[in-house]
Amino acid sequence: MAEDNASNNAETQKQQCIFCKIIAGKVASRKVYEDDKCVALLDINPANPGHTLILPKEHQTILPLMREDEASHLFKIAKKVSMAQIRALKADGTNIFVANGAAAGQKSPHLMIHVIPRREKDGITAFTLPKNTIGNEDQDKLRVAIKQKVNEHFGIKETEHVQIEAPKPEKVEHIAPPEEMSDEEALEDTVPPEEVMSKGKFDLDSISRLFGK
Amino acid sequence: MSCEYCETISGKNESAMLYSDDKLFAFLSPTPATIGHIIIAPKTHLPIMEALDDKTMEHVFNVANKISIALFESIKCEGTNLIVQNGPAAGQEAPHFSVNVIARRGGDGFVFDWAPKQLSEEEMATVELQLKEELAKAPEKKPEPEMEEGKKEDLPSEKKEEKGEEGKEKKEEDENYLVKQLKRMP
Repeated sequence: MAEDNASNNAETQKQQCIFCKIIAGKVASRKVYEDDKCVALLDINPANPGHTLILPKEHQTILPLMREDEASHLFKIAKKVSMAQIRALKADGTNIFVANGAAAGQKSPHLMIHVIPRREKDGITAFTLPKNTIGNEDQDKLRVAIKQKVNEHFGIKETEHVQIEAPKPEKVEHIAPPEEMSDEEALEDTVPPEEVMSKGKFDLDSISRLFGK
Repeated sequence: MSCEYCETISGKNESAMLYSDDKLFAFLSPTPATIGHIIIAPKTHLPIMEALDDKTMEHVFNVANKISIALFESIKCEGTNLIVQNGPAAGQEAPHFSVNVIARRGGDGFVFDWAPKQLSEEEMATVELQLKEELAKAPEKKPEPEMEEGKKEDLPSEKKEEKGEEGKEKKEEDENYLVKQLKRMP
């Protein structure tokens, strides 16, 4: 049911999409390139003269939902457009910009790649990235979290299983109770079970080991 | 000439590394624009985009896109930006081509905005013609022999499509904790 709604919405979105109308030739535009998969148009509100948009002919919303070969084709054309801007418009450089999602500044429901010709001191500051600092520890946590997903997507299996909130190794060593210790002593030595549970990151085995079994 | 990206590849900054294959590598930016800012760069020292062949260009952006998906899923961002600064006039700092993938959240205070320039019809028409002519004479891509190599690393496409939406819902428990941690970052 939810899917039906979603596909209905998608259908409506597609019918109302101004870029789909442009691509279909129902609305005028300044096309600079076209092939079977995409078109390149001049932006009517350019950051600089020659600002070009590359759009897939098929209505697509964001890159992550596109087929890989279709997405990469757009970037190949983006490179071509960038080269043309440098050669024909004598641009000093170019920016390539994509926004996936409204939170990233996406304004149209039709995916597009901006290719913006730049000139020395043209006064555009939008693509100067702010620089923040990040602590080593935070950077590590972030890396572990992202890497796990990156590995999944590339089919990489790491021998060491990534545990985001695993207890410190020293504690783990105490978990297997030495023979001379009574069960109670062993328990005292380990992480309190509540603490472990609250992190929700343990498998059954490690939990049972915490209870001295 | 020392290049900070080349140094990263040679292993001097291993702690930031996220992914690498025979052609490129991806690492966390040491000076992130937002929490979750990743830089993807070819292993070969290529100064600007024009120096990349089509195949590498496609591969770099395929990887950028997968990393973008991984950001959606791992740190629950609400959007991502892909940005290339091609040439110093476009803001490029390191002399090594790279793509920035930047995780975004509503109200993160970071805006990509430019003042639109109003061009006359004539100016627009001139630019249109210049670009059209240049693009028409650019040679068509030649078939490239090593196509399979890049494909090998690709995921089956059906997996990718599901992940985009579904992945966001899952693992809420584990990751909420993590996201809270992340939000505390300066």
